Amino acid sequence: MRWLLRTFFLLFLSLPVVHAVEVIANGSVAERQVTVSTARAMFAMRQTQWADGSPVRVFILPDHHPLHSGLCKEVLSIYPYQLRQSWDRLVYSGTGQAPVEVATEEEMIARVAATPGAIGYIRKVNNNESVRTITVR
Amino acid sequence: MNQFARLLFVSAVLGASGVRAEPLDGLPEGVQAHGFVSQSVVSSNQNRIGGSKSGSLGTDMRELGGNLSWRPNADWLVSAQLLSRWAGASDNGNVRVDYAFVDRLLVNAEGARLGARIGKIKNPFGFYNTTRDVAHTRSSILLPQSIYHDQVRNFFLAAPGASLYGGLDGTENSLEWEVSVMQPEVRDGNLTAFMVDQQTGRFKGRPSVLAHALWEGDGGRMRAGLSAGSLAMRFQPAPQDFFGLVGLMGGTTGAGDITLNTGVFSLQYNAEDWSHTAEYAVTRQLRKNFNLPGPLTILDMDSTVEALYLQTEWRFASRWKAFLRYDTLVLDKSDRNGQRFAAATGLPAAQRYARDWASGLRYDPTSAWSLFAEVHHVNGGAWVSKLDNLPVNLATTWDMLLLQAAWRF
Repeated sequence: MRWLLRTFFLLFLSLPVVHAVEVIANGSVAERQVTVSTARAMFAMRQTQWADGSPVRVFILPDHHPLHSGLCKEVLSIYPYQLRQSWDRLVYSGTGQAPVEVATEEEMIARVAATPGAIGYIRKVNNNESVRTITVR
Repeated sequence: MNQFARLLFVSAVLGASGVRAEPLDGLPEGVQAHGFVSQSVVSSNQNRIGGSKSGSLGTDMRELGGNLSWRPNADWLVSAQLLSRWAGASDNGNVRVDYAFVDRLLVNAEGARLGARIGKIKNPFGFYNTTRDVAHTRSSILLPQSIYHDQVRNFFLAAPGASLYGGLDGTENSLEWEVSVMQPEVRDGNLTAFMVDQQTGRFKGRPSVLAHALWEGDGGRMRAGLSAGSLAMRFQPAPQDFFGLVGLMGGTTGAGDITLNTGVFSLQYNAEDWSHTAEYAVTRQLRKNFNLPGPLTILDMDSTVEALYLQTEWRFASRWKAFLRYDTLVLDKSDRNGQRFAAATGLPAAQRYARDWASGLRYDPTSAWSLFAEVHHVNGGAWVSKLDNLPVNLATTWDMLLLQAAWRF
């Protein structure tokens, strides 16, 4: 029995690490929570304003970053390639702009903290007081 | 190559060392610059595509574009793109304004948007039309030609006018729509050749409308689109033109009006590894006032163009994608195999239809670079350029291989 448990335990350890993702925003943002559809429209760059009319500034990690996959699948319920296609359609038809890509989670926190209206995402464990957490429901 | 193209090409090559596809740094707040470049190699065993010759490689297919957009505040957006394209005899690299317009968001309530655009606007038609010249946004090197017909591309691509657009975002569903009024740009040798054969006369765009709606369900897993438009133009033949001469014999000028009443229905299913796409288009081509005499009335008859493709894309590994597609086009639904046309004109029936099996691979080494390879097995030549292929010499069955490298920022 013990060997079975141990096997299961080892199997569990060897699974790829899945990061729980949390959406964050700049301190200037009034919203504490947004709906999934609003979050999706914001990260897809279709929804360009917060409720008070101020501009949304979207920060993202590279397409293949595990946290980016986490945001897409866990929070927005879409696939990363769909977001990329959506940005490309806007950018090359002139009907919208691209989000700002940052290289690391640290850069994400720093840029979101420093940019009014900014929205981004981090690992759930990575609580950071310089940014506001937004609940997506 | 003119100065714009050279400048863009140099910046593309210089920038190619960076791998991140993101806006240029150092631009003023709210301003973004993006661009793209692609180069293709074509080998065709019969009909000429992209400057290819039978038995040798064609390297004449190239695209180069750059855009600037400026969002001065949350309500306004100003954007413009220049485009230069090479494709055999039909596109020689001339720099064109691809789009240039002002966008004003009028209403932005929770989950609902309404806005207006004025200027030269891209025509939303089917899934791919608005960004068809940007390799990264395509499913393949050649888009399904039945619907994204490169011979009438300039006419369909963008037009000066105005549009009203809107969007609704629900938890499971979203809807985007746009209604445009415009004057199509039709001064194009390719379009003339496609519509009335090679003549020196000119087409002039007339007021036209286009409407587009796209529904997405389950966060975009299901997508369904409908585009419908009525695009109008007038052909004025030159005195020495075939239409002008026969018109003269018949006591008319040979001038006439063509209206394309067109619609495309689009469906797509997106899973993690698979995307399945189908688009079906019908275009009713109405010809008025040409009054050509005798057997030439066949050139003066209404017809219904029918186009359909089915496509499967498979993301079989990270950064890799494969596709398989069947694409079919008939220029006259009542003469599917072109036999009636061939009997009346003596020209090959193959000019009136095309059935294309295509399969290919895409590899994205970085988010900025993409490499493509694809093969086509085609029966018919309805969409090959008449400027590159004399209609009498059109081959019925032919194959081609295309390779493409593309970079964007």
